[in-house]
Amino acid sequence: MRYFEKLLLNQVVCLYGSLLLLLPYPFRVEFGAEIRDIFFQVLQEAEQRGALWLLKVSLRELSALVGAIGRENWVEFLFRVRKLNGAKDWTGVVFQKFCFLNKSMIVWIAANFLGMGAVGAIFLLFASILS
Amino acid sequence: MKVKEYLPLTETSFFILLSIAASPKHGYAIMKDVEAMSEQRVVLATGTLYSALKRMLEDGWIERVEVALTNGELRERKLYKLTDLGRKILDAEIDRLHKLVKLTQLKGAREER
Repeated sequence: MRYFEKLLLNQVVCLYGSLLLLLPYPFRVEFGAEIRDIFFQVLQEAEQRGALWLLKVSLRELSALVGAIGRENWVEFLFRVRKLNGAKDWTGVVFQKFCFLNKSMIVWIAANFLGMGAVGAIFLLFASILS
Repeated sequence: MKVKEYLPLTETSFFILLSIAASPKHGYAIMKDVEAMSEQRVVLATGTLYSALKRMLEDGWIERVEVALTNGELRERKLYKLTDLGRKILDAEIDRLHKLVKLTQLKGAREER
């Protein structure tokens, strides 16, 4: 196998494995092993058709997995919210969940944002001076 | 819920159901079958396929059959097969598509080549 294909294959397998961890736990337990097996099969098949094909298949698989992560986490989130509260209106429940934030915490979060903004501004100033 | 309320099916769902209608299949075989049936038009990625399979399992359209290990296999293979509800939905969708084709022919909408 050529060097580029091997490198690409390793990178894609690592990235895919890491992304799989972002799937909701119940989904991962039920389908994780199967997804990984099939992904390897798909990659092995693509590898035989050359580097470009491998790249195309890798991008397709990775983007589909990212989509599935978003979708499944959303479904899982809605399921948990409904299960916990028996509520249909999830926005109200989310608001309730964040009510634990008291005033001092909100001030602390705001201060952090302002701090990050200040650091960013200083960085931009230095960057403009240096350029 | 009535069968007709699930219709029309998405193309992905239709091809998955059609693929396992004849015999139970595992994930990779479903992917390849869908690709072949749609003449490479519908190419399922692994993530998309399993999201769809999960939804269908939850809705009771399909069920999972575990096949015992054979020599050289590390894990049990899981096959997916249609349930009665799944078959009813697929049949209803095929009927719907038949009606559409019939209507098209009646109206002579398709240009003869």
